[in-house]
Amino acid sequence: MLDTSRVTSYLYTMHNIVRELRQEENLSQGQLGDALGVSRQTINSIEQGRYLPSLPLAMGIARHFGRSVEEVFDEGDE
Amino acid sequence: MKETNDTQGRSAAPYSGLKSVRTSRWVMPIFTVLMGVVILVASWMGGNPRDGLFGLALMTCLAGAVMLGGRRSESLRLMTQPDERWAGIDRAASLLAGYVLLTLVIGSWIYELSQGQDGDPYARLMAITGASYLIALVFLRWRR
Repeated sequence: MLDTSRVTSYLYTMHNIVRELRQEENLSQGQLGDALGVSRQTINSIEQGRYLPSLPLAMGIARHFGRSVEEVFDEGDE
Repeated sequence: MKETNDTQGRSAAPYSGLKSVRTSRWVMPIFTVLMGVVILVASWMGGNPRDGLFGLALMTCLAGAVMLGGRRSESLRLMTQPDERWAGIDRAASLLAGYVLLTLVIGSWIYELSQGQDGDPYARLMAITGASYLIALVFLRWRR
């Protein structure tokens, strides 16, 4: 069951596999950022779990790698 | 592209709506130079053209530094063309600056009152700020 108190927390973070997927395709953070229309810093922050992407960006990331959003982002502990 | 388990036939094509977040890279530099022109005109009207020219030169140099620096520094480039993360950082920083300014205005108003003054113009600034906040609340409640 989703803990909604965590969803609304300012400090809420999620585990993701963006780095692993990016490295599988031999992409740099800059290249992935260019493909998605965001900066390298944003990709880095997402990979490190410091930044939660918006829904459109999360969907864009998932679609770029041909995965579902749930496969890429997981609310489990890092 | 890896195959997905999506059975609803959604396209795996990259999401194309993200690029609309970015603004033109000329907006901030042009606005900065225009502010310099406003400073020049106001200073000239006040009898201080030299100060106005200095202000215009300063703002022009600032705009140029951000434009040129943006070619080497991603952080500077993001100041003119923010992505969603940088836009969020900008909003948070603006909010903090607003709270600091508001605290100073309220503090100055209270100090003026304690000195037997009428609190002008701080009282008017607080009234305008409060009204703006309420209008924004109503508008955003309606739109979101």
